[in-house]
Amino acid sequence: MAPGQSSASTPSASTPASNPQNRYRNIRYKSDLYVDDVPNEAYTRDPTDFKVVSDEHEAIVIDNGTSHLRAGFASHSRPYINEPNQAAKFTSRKSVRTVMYGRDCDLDNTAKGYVKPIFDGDILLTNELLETALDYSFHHLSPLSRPLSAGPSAIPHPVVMTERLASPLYSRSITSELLFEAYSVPSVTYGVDSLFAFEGLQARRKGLLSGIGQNKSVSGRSSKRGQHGATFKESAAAEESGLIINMGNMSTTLIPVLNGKSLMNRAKRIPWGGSQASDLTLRLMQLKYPGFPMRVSPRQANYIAHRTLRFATDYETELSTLSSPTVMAKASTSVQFPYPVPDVVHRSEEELAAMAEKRKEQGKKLQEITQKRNRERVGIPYLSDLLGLKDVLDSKVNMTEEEFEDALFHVGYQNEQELTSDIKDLERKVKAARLRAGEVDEETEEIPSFPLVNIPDSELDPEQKQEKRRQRMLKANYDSRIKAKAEKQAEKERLAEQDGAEEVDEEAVDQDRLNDLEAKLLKYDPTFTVEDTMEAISNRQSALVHAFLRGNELQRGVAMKKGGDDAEPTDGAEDDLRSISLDLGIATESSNQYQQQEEELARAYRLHLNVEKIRIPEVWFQPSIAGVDCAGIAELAGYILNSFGEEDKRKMMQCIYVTGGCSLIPNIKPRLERDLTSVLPFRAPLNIITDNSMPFDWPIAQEWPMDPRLSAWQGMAHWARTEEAQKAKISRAEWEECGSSWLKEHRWSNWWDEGHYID
Amino acid sequence: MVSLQAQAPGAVDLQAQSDICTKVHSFKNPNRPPPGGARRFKPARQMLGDEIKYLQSKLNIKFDTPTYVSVAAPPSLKPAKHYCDITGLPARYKNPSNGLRFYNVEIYQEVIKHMPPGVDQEYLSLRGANVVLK
Repeated sequence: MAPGQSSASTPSASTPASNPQNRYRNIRYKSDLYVDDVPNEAYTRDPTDFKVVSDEHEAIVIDNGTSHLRAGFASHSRPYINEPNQAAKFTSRKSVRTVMYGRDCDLDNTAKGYVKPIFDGDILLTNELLETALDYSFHHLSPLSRPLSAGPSAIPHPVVMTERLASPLYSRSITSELLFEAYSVPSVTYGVDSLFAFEGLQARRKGLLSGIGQNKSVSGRSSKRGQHGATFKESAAAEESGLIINMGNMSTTLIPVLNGKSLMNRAKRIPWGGSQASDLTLRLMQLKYPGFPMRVSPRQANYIAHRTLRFATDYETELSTLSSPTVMAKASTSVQFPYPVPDVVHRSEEELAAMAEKRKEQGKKLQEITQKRNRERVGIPYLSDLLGLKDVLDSKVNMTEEEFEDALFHVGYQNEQELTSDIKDLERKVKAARLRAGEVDEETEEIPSFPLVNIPDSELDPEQKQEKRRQRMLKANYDSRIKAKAEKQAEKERLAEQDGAEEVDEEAVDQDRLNDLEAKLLKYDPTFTVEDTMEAISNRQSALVHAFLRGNELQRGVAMKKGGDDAEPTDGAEDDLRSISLDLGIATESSNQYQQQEEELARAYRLHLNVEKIRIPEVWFQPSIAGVDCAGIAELAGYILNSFGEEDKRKMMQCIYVTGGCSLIPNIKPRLERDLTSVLPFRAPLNIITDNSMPFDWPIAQEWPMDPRLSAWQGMAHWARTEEAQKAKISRAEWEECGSSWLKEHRWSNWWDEGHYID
Repeated sequence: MVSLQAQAPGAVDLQAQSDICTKVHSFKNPNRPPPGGARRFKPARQMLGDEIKYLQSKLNIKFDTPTYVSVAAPPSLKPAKHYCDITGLPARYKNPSNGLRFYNVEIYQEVIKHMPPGVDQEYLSLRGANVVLK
């Protein structure tokens, strides 16, 4: 990718050029985020954490989400499988059918091109891809289960699986068909993912379910949890009421729960999720930097979105503060992409001079070589012919008439006239060839003599008169040619003069005068400051666009001035400019040309996010920003809560539970609190619970007590061991009898209207 | 510790990984009926349309029965706020020729005026306000 590193004193000469991280590190300007090839986040699992299951009644719990699939046994504290829910099917170069699932898709470049998500948007449309996902999961789970590894041609464990809110009957029917027919599972149970997360929350409060890392201390959180527990013990009925906001990958759902029963008929879905947010990030970046030298992949955009977005507590106020260029510049996050290291070697002046000399010599040599070649190719053959013929003509003096005729015949001529005309012809050719070879100048064309022109007719015999007429004609011809040439030359000179006048740019002259004037003013007029210079004014006029596009990088005008040698070096202006640049946080003196060039290159490969950081998450609260015609989270939550009676509403307001991967976007809690207080009754107690205190770059499922991405699976695993789950099992016989999309309703399930769905 | 990421990409046997999903697993039903039967792949829109038709044919269905279509969030009752299409700042002005909203004269002078043809529509498509020719 990078051209071979030269051995000269480049800052990165000591590090291997193949490592972009190292190349990046050498740049003076540090950016906030570095984006290269971003792999899927690793999920580290230690098999010793997972005990082997010997009971075949223990359920396999599968959270089949649009972004990730999590699977494991109900007795485990966290899922054994946690893979991006995607598969790549293709025929490899050796014409071998290859199927990859989850993170394995990253292993091969060909596979990367074929990656398809298991879900089509928010909906499960085909079970072919799901079969791949389940094959993968069961394959990895089988060593953990004694009954499964014994090798029956069936899955001996019951399966508990998540669905989307109001999942289409068709999706359920193809899932059941697959589970019963391909895997012969004894029974299957379905429920809604965010409701299971709510179940997990309740269990955790009652102390039935611990955090993820059971062995680690969670001191900071346990006291808080105890607090929640205390308020909840006051009213047993409130315990199982709440509003669940699930901020998922493809959609956001709000489901009210009253007295332990989900009210699916009042649940709502906003078609906006993490995936759409990262799409919007990508599109905004593409529009903001249309000439970006590389293609930003959707995954890189997702990576950037995860690390930069945050909710604004008060969007309007934050926007109005951001509209000041300085604030916007400060609020910018720069995102650096890898760039090729410029192949420049820094040389001393002597070296440069030597190089120029060498180049000159080489040019000269090359010119000589071409001339010589041209001469050889064109000049010499004609020349030898000409010389030969001239010899014959010259020898006429020493020969008799007969001898000369013999000689003429020998070279192939009938008479002397033919020979002279040929000689003339050849002379012309040789001259042209010499001209082409650069031997003679056009100017050295010999002036023909016309001796008879000036002699009066009376002194000439008739033959000479004729010759004189001819010479006169030739002379007139020659004279007119010379005249035309001279005119042409004069015209050329005139044009050149005109062009030159145009080249002397009036603007440049004005600029110089302006610079002079400003320099003088800066020096002598105390009321005239750097702020008042023309450049500062024009910079100010484009300051907002600059801050928006380039964050806190220097404006080009300022940068040029501090680097330029022609700027007045002696007076205070330079110093002032320098201090401005220093205020902006960048050292002004450029140590060498190489670094400057590298900085330029790095700048070209750098993105800046400022307004976008709050603009993109704002779509959750104002979907109209992205052209989604529906109410935002807070409005919808208020709408749902206000549709209940006063007492029920108060109960539910005690537990607004925010879960799902996108609840990891910072600041969701204060934002929601602020927006909800405005739509809910005055001074009503409001309690918003999130599991998003986890920082984004935390390694997944390690030591952190609550992870919104895993909470659905954990709640489901807990629920799978309750009495209720046993009753909700759909056995194979029931499935065969009642229809492919049949469902046994339970507290956390989707709705079922009696009847059979035949597709 | 078992980590998939720990292995260098070059060291992975692609075929071994692929086998996980392609081989005949012991836990799978050998006498499985051919998957899908006569069913053909339906695009999402068609599938949802069929489902609505089916549900409407049911007599015992209630008015508030939640279905995939009915749980969609209702439109907002608040008037939509306008933001600058380029920067996202509050929009005070609108370009009459293409409908782009912008924050101030600077955005207009520096960005909108020099926009190559077609880019304005791309900006508008971010909020679904672009002209779609059919």
